[in-house]
Amino acid sequence: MSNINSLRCMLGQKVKKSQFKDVFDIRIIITDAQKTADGDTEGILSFVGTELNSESEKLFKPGASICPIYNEKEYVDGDIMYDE
Amino acid sequence: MTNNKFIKIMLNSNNEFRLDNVTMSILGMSFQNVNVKIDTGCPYSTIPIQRLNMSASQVGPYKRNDANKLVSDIRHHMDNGYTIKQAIQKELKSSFKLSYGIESGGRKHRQINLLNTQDIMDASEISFKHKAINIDFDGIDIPDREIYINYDRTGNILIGMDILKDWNIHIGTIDIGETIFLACPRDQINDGYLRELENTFHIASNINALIVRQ
Repeated sequence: MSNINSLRCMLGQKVKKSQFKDVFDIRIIITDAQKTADGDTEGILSFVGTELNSESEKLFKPGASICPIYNEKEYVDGDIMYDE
Repeated sequence: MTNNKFIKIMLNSNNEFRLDNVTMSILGMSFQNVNVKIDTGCPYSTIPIQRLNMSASQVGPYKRNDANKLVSDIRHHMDNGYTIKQAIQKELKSSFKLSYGIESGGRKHRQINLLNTQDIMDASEISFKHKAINIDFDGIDIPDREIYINYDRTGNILIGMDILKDWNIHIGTIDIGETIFLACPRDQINDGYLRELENTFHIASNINALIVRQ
């Protein structure tokens, strides 16, 4: 989880979803999210954390445009699966 | 996002077809570029809402609202002369569904008292139908539709056959060994898709385009 502090330094900045494709087991929320022409999503990095909390909850308000990111390492690696 | 008006996905190393570019509005919010799993074995598309980084405590009031409405609707049907079984049947699939994990033992699963809000709140197997609007699959607009929301589970967002049945779908393994999912909504069949069908599976020429375009 060494990179979480560096991610937190980016809070409030304009970011793209693709920047976080290799970030695992960290909850990330981009607000004011909009698709870009290349299919990425751009918006404001508004939450970074290992757990969701009251700060993350405040972001989900009516009319909000959210890009939620959570890459589960064990799942991506194929170590676990969900019965579906 | 591609300019192509079709979906082409390669099977990943976990034997899944995943799409990382789905946008839709539900519960009054817009969710952008969400990662979903294409599941041809899933009858109804379902969103485990916590997967969208909404916390368990946060989704509680949404679930309570849905549970209260369900109880109220079932009671209303009973007031109009329906038996409880008939009243539940009227709401089943029109406003909720039940789905059990493999650990529930099939028919031996616990019965939920659907006249009791708290019993519904305690049940992770219940999902509620909600309208999804402004749906976009990798640049392809999908008409507004109803979709199920589960408030307790945290697994994959599943795009099931309720949506895919309206698509022209092909899955196959190509010459270089990759397994490909290639699909396009039936009412949006286009020349680019037919070309890709031919290039990927060499079958477009065998398909009567007029039939495909119906």
